[in-house]
Amino acid sequence: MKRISYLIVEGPQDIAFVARILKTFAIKVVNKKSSLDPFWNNLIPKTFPVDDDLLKRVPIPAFFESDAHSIAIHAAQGLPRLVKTLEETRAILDFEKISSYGFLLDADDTQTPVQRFNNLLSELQKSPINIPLSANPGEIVGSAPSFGVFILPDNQNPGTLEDILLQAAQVNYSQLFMAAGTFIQSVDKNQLVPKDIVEFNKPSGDKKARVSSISSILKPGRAIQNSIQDNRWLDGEAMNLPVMQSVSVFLQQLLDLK
Amino acid sequence: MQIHLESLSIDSFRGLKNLELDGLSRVNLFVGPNNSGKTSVLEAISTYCRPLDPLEWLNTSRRREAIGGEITPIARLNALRWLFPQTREQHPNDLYHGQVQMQAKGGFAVKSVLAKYQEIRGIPDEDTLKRIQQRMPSREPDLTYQGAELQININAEQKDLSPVGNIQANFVFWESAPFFDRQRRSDPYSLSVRTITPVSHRTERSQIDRFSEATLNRDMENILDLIRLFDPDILGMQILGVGGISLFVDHKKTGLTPLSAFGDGVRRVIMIALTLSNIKEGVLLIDEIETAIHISVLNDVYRWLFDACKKNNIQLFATTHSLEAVDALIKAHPAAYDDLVAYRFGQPGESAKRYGGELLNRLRSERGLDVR
Repeated sequence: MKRISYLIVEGPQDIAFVARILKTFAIKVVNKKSSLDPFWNNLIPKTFPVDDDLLKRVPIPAFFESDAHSIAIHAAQGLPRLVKTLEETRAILDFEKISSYGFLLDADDTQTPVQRFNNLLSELQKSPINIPLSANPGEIVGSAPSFGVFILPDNQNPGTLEDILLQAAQVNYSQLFMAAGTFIQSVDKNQLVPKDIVEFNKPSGDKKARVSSISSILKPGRAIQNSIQDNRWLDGEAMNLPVMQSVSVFLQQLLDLK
Repeated sequence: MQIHLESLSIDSFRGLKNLELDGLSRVNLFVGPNNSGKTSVLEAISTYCRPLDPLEWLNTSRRREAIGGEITPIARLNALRWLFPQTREQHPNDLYHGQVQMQAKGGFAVKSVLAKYQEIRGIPDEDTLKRIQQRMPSREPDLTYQGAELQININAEQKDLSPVGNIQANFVFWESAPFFDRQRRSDPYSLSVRTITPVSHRTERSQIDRFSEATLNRDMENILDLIRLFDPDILGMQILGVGGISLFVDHKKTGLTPLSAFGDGVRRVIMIALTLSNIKEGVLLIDEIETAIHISVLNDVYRWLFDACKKNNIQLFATTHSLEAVDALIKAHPAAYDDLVAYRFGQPGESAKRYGGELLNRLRSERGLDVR
C-alpha cells in the first residue's frame, strides 16, 4: 500500500519547488493517467471548460509517485480558494485513505509567517472542515492523517519562494546571480510608463525580476517552473542551505520521506 | 416551509443497512454506481410515506418489474418478501421472517416505522378460501396454502409535537387470493407519494389515470407550459375513446395525435408533469430523472420541476447516472443552493456522502469533477 499524501500550494512554481525536493527521494512526476494510482481518479476533471472560462487552466494537481509514495500537489490562489480546494477534495475522495496532508504557502513581504499562518487558520475555522490544527507553522499534528503547514521561506521571516531561489542561485549560479543584479539595477524606470512597472514596484517585484532574469538564460522563453524543475537551482550545496533544510525536513516528516 | 423529511435513517430495508441520510432538502439527488442501493432508497421512502397502507407495500415491491408481464400469486408474495432483508443462511424449508426499520425527522407526522414480515403456512378463512377456489378451481382444496403476515408499527407525532404513540396495523396475504384493503387509514399518517420509474412513461394506463387527476385539479395550463418546451405547437391534451381509451395531444400541425406517436422525451415529461399535479403536499420519487430528456431542454425542465415542487410543497427525491442532469439541477436555481443536496452512494454497507448545493456547484463549476 502506497503512502498517499496531498499538499496544497499557491502556484506552479511552488509545485516545481516541492517536486525538486521529492526528486531527491526518487519520487517522480506522473505523466500518464494510466500510470496514476487509481485513488486519485476522482480528482481529474471531466468537464471543460470549467466554470465557463475558456482561458482558465484545468484545475488538476500534479502527481508524483514512487514504489512507496503517491503524492498530489495542488495549486490554488488566495486563502479562501486554498481552503475551499481542501474542502472539495476531501468531499470527493476517500480522505480516510490519506496518510498526510497540508499547505505550503508564501509569507510574502508584507506579513510575517505567523500572521499568514493565523490567517489560514481563521479561514480553515470558517469552513466545515474539522482539522486538528497545529499551533505554529512548521508543526505537524495528528496521525493517519497527519497535518502540517509550512510558510516559506522558513516559518519565521517574511519572504517568498524567490528568497530561497536567490539564495540557492548564489550558490549554484553565482555569476548569473550577479549578472541579474546588474541588469535589474541598470533599468531606467524613467523610460517606462507607470503601467509598465506596476508589478515590478510590488514588494517582491525586484526579487521576481531577478529570478526571471536568471531563468531567462537557463530556459530562454520558458516558464520559471520549468527552470526550477530542470536546472541546477537546488542541486548540491544549495540543498544544505538552512532555508532549504527547513523546508526539506518539514516535507520529510509530513510525507514520511526516506 | 418545513420539509416533510429532514433526515431519514434506514436501519434495514432490502439490501440497505444502517443508512443515514441527514440534511435532506427540497430536491435530493442520489448518485452512485449500479447496485449501490439508490432505487432501494426510493422504495424505502415510498413505504415510509404511507406505512400503514398495505397497497403501498405491495405496489412498491413490484415496481421494478417490467410492466405488462403476468405475475403469479407466489411471485407477488415473494416480491413483498424481498423488500425485507435476506440472508444466504435462510433454509428453504424454514418460514422466512424479517423486519424493516426506519426513522425520520421533519414535518411529516410519522417518526418511525417498524414492519415485520412473517411467512405463514396454513388454511385461510372461509371467505378467502372461497375466493382462492374461484380463481383456481383445479387446485386441491385440502392442501395448505402459503401466505404472509405483515405487521406494521409506527410512532407518530401530532402537529403540536405531542406524541400520538404507537399505532399498529396487521395484514395477511394469501397466495392465489386477491387482496382487498377495506379499512380507511387516517391521513395524518401518510403523505401523498408517487414514483416515476425509468419506464412508467411508456404505460398507457398510468398516463390516463394521471391525466384524469390533473384535469380534475385544473393544472393543465401549467403542465402545457412545460410540454411546450419540447414542442411549442402543442395546443392541449385530452382523452378520447377511439378503439379504446387513449391520451391524445392536440397539435397545431398534426391535429389530434395519439400520445404514443410522440417521442419518449415528450411522454416522459408529460408523465412527470401529470404525476406532480397528482401529489398534494407530498413526495415525488423519480428513478433516473434524466431518462429520455435531451441535454438541450434539461435546464428548462428542471427549472420547471424545481419551481413546481417549491410551489406545491413537494419534496423530490431522484436518482441519476447523468452528469448533465446533475449540472442542469445545479443550474436550475443558482439562488437556491440550500434547496438542493446530493448523496453519493458507495458499496453496500458504506454510508452515503452528502454534497450540499453550494459544495456541489463548486465541485462541478470550479473543479470540473465528476460527483457520481
